Order: sequence, then C-alpha cells, then structure tokens
Amino acid sequence: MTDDELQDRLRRLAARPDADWDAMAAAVRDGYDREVRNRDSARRRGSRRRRWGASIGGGMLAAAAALALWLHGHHGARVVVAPEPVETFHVFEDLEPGEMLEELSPAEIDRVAKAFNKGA
Amino acid sequence: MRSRVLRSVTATAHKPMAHDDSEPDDQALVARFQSGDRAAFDLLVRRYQRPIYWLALRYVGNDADAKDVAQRALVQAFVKVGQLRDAASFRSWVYRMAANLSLNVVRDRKPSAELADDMATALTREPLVEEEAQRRLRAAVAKLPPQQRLVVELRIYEELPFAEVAEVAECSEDSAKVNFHHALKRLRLLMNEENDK
Repeated sequence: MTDDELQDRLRRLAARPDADWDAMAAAVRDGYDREVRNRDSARRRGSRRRRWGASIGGGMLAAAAALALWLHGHHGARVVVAPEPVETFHVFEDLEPGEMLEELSPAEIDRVAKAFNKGA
Repeated sequence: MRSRVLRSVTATAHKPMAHDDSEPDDQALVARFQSGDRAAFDLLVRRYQRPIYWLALRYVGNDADAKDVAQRALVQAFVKVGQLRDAASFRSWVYRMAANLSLNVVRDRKPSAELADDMATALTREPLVEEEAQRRLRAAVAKLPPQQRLVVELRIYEELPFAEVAEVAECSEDSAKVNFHHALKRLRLLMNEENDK
C-alpha cells in the first residue's frame, strides 16, 4: 500500500457526524460564564481574606504598640511620688473603724497611729 | 465506480473549515473578545466547535465524551486566552487543549474499553470487506503512540500545514514530518500484522 493509498484510507475514516451545534455553543457559553463567575468569587474571597488579615494584623500591631508604651511608662520612667505630710490624716465617713484599717496599707496605718499618738 | 463516487464525496468533505472572507480572522476575533465583545466569542465557538468535536470523537470514540471534551476545550481556551502569546495561534491553541483533554479521557479509561458504537455508526457505510479493512485501520490508528497519532489526526483530518501541526504538538516542524512518516510506516506494519493473523 502506497503512502497516498494509506492516507486516502485514513481520510475515509474521518467521521464527521452532525450534532446539535446550537446546544453545544450554548453549553460552551454557560461553561465560560460559570468559570468566570467562579474565578471572580474566588478573587473576592481572596481579597476579603486579605482585608480580614490586614485588620487582624493592624489590631495586633496596635495592641503591641499599646503594651510597649505601657511597659515603657511603668519600667522605663521612674515615678517620683511626693511624700504626704505626716500630720495629714484621713477621714473615713462611710466606713466602720474595722473597715478603715482594712482599707489602709501598713505604712498608712503607721502614719495614722503616729498622728493619733501625737494628738493624744 | 462506487469507489470513485466515495472518493469524490470524501474529498469535498475533508476540505478544511474555510470561513467566509467577510468574516474576521481569529486574531481580530480574539482581540474583540478580550475587549469584551461577546459576539466575537460566539463566532469563535461556531468556527471551532465542529472540528474540535470531530477530533475528540476520533480519540474518545463516543458522542458523550467527545461533546464533553469539545466543550471543556473551548471553555478552557477562552478562560486562558490571556496566556496566548500570539492571538493568530488561537486555532492551534484550541486543538492542543482538545487533544490533551482527549488523551486524558483515553488514559483514564479502563484498558479493556473499546470504541463505542457512536464512532462505528458514524463511519462511512462501505461494503463488508472494505468495512473490515477500515476497522483494522481504525484499530491501528488507536495503537499509534500519542505524538504520532496527534500528527496524523491533524495532518490527515484537519489538513493543517506541518508548521501548525508542530505548533499543536509542541515540536519542531521537522519533528512533525518525521513523526508523520513514522506513523504511516507503523500503520502499514500494524495493518500487515492484522492481515497475517
């Protein structure tokens, strides 16, 4: 069999049946629209995720900055507290005497006791 | 007489898909599609759905799979058209998608699967002896290595020039010619083997 004969035979194998071309074209159009919609929604999901990520990241940065400032305020700078005059004493109008003592720190109780003894 | 009639029929049937001169070429249509013209999309689909479907049918052998492959190939071609470097190569681009998808379908199929009836009934109605010879040839084509088969498909059935065959098969033009030559040689060998059985 020559090359030409073989090619001729091959050509005769070519099946070219008809199909519903309108339906196929419509299916291609639908398939394309669906793909584009999926791609767009995936893109939107991506940008939403990025927005969330950015806001969470921003919040964490802000919290870290606030913490840094707070630490700096408490440990970096020494706070000078002016000593209260020894003679000053507190008046607790709404508290019972026992509660008064509970509310005071040992140093304050000391001061109050000194002032009381002085007066006495 | 009969064979002469058949030959003349097939000769006209295998003319390449010529489109009207008044119709814009692929390059212009792709550019119009990319700028949002849906009419250009429809024209391209109409232009290529037939050859793509027929190419797929010869590979996968049944109407349902061939339709599926043709639709997916066209959709992919349009979705990824932005990656196409030269809009004039749209035809090669679509053929390549269809050939790859068809090969995937054939590869995923069980080895025992034979061509379905859709393909057999779609073939020319010829006398029994001739029909048997054509059946053997069809079986021989199916046994060709993928690259050789693709070259035969595109050269014989789509009547593409070797330069374009090479573009679809992603090889050089010389390599496409060599593959074609080897494919014919192998087909003859396979046909003779069948005859000897």
